[in-house]
Amino acid sequence: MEHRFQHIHSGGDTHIGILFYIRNHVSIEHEISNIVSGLNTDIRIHEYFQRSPDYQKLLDRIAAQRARVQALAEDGGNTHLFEAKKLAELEKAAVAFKTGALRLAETFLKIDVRTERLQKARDLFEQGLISEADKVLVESELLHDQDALIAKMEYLEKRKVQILDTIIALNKS
Amino acid sequence: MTNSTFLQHIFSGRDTHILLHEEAPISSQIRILIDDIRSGKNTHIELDTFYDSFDLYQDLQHKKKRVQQAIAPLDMHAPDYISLATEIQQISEEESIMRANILDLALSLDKMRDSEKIQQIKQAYTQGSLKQVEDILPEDYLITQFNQYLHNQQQLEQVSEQLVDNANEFLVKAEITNLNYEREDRFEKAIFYYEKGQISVKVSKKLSHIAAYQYDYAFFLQRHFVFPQARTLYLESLEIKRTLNREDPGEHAFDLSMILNNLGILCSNTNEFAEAVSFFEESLLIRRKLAENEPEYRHEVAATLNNLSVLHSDTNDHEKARSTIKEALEIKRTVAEAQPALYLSSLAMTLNNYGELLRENSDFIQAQIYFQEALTIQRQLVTDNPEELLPEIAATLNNSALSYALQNRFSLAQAQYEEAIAIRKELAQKNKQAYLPDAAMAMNNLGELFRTQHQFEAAESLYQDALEAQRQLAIENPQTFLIDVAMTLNNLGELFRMQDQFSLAQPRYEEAIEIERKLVEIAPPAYLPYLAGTLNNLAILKKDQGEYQEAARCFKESLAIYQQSAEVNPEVFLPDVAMALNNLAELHTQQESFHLAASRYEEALDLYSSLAEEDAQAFLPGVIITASNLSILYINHLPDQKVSVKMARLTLASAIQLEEVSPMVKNCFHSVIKILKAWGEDPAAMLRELTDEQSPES
Repeated sequence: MEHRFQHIHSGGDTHIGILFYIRNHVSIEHEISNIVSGLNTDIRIHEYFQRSPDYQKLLDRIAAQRARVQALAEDGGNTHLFEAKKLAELEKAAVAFKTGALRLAETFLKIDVRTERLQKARDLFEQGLISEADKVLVESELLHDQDALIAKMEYLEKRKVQILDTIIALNKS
Repeated sequence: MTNSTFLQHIFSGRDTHILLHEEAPISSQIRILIDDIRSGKNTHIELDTFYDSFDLYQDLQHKKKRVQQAIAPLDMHAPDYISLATEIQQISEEESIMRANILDLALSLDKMRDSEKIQQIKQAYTQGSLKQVEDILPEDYLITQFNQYLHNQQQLEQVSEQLVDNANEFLVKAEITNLNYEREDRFEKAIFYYEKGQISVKVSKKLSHIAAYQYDYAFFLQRHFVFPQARTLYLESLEIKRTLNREDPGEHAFDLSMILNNLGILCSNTNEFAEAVSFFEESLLIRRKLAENEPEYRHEVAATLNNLSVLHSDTNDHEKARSTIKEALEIKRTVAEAQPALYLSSLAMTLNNYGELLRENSDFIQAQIYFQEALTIQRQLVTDNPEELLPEIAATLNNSALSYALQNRFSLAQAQYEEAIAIRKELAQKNKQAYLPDAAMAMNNLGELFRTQHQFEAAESLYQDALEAQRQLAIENPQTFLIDVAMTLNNLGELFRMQDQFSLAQPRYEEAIEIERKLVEIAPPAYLPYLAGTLNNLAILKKDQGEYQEAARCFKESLAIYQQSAEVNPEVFLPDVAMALNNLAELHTQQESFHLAASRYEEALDLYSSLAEEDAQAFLPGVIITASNLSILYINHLPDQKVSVKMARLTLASAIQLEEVSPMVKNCFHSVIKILKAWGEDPAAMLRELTDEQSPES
């Protein structure tokens, strides 16, 4: 007997591409369930991962590791067992990559993409360039912006109190 | 001039005789004076000279004096008397208002930052020139302040939106980071970004964005089994959504039902059943309302009913579980009829779940009907969609096999287990992570079948295969699969104990306990029952080996855990408490502590009897076992014919109510027959009497 997770599907902005396709044609939960179960995904999603250099890089590493395991197994001994463990980890990473990418698609569909950085990250995501999208969101810049915005917010909040006090005082006098 | 000096200066600069205390803030004292004046409680005449120093107040005083002079010579009945008296009354009221305003203005000026204009105003005020204050403070100054306020509000809104954007950037960054399989610390780093984004979204004060963010973060943590933090975030999101839903139900109702549903699942995972039920029920209520107007929500209603039913079943509330899943099934039949392509496989899943529920209630024949219907649908669909349906077929076969096994229809059970294992092994070749755990579970189940048939070699081989697979899975994902390793080790321990191979059984139990103790440190509510179960089994082994002290230690720890768990979930753990008490009593009997044994047995019997009142078929076997043990105790060790016969009678009375009789119950039955004969009683007559008492006519 299995519980199942359900997730919010709310509107996002309009952007033609894989995100638009996902929003209108597939159930993310269903596709994730397919990926986890090792089943075929929707054709457009399948094509998306085929085009993604990041995913292809991961597949290349899996293929190389598989060949290494096979070669070591043919040589005899136990070394291939250690390498087989690494292969299993990579295969697991491939599944996690695909499900995580679909969750990211869901996030892009849900949030308002208003900053230049988010727009760039989304465009790169559309092309399957996920590590490039990561580079756009520079940690130090995000933190710097955050500090500045919080400071500005605090200043404006204080200013609001001051102006209000003045208005109250003026009204009473 | 500093603010505090300003207040002190304006009061001390005049001969006011004002009674201000040095130890209390001057502004607070003035505030009290103002409140008193406005409420008419006390006019504080000691301040008169203070007010007199203000020009506008003086004008008012002059005006009042003039009117007073005009009224003085008049008779009360003179034509102008009333109008002049009214004027004096009005001037007195204006006076009172002005006094309060003079003090209020002092306080307001004290709080203001010193701009050039404010300094001029303060100066004029200090000199008592309220007219000059009025001149410096034209109407447009107020308008300027309002404009500044509005501008400030716009800026606040803008920065607030920018903070939401910043939070979303961190959210995306967190998710991308978690995808970076080359980073070993990707999970920790993702958490770091989630936390940072959380700060931004909270500072933004945008409630709907905070709710959405906390939900996303909670969902991420839930997927990674970080339950306590996920729960806190869900609850925060829930509280906000409840508020928003009250204001705009149409917009937020489904989101609210989603949070409640996920919280229900989370609480089920952490064994907090009562809360889980409450969350599911609230979610269900919302979805039912939504489905009234929009039928596409009917399937969502069925999904929550399904989850709720699983939960009721886990908490042994079989009646509710059955009625809930029946409703889910009815809805699914309707939606599957309308849209078979979309919902037939979902219907099959619910049929399988219903079968499982019936199986748990020992209604094996009915259970088979539903399993068969599920299998028929699944086998029809499998040709078009083998990849999706094969795992479902394996799940139904596994459940159906267990049902056959419990009916002692071993060959049918074996055939279905073997088919389920074959399917899952094949699936595991393509996707080990997804299907090897299920394959191991089915091997475990078949091993159990062989163990009960005393086919020990076949059972051991299957357990060992399952254990190997589970150990392999646990290396990659210990948090998920270590508990399976512990469970199979415990089963192997049981297998060896049955064959009196104590030296092989003990290390299995001990390893299982070691694993379970580690898991308990991570999530106590989820793993404590497993630990208690294995401790109980190890205690039985120790007792069989004559190591009573060690056996007592394990039994007592097991009992304490079950008691602790029963405090939170009595409906789930009270049967375990009763079992542990019965086992401990058996040990006390072997230790020749007969009075202690009697007391433990009686506690166990009380519990089983109460439980049997709710569900006779499930708990009468417990009554039978404990009552027969007491009957034996009171003939062999604490000879007391009355009590021994009473317990034997209770054993028989309970046994004849059972629809299915296990070998253990049969043994108890035969034991008490012998005891009754030994006491010189007539068991056959007693049975007739009991049968007559329980017949429908009587």
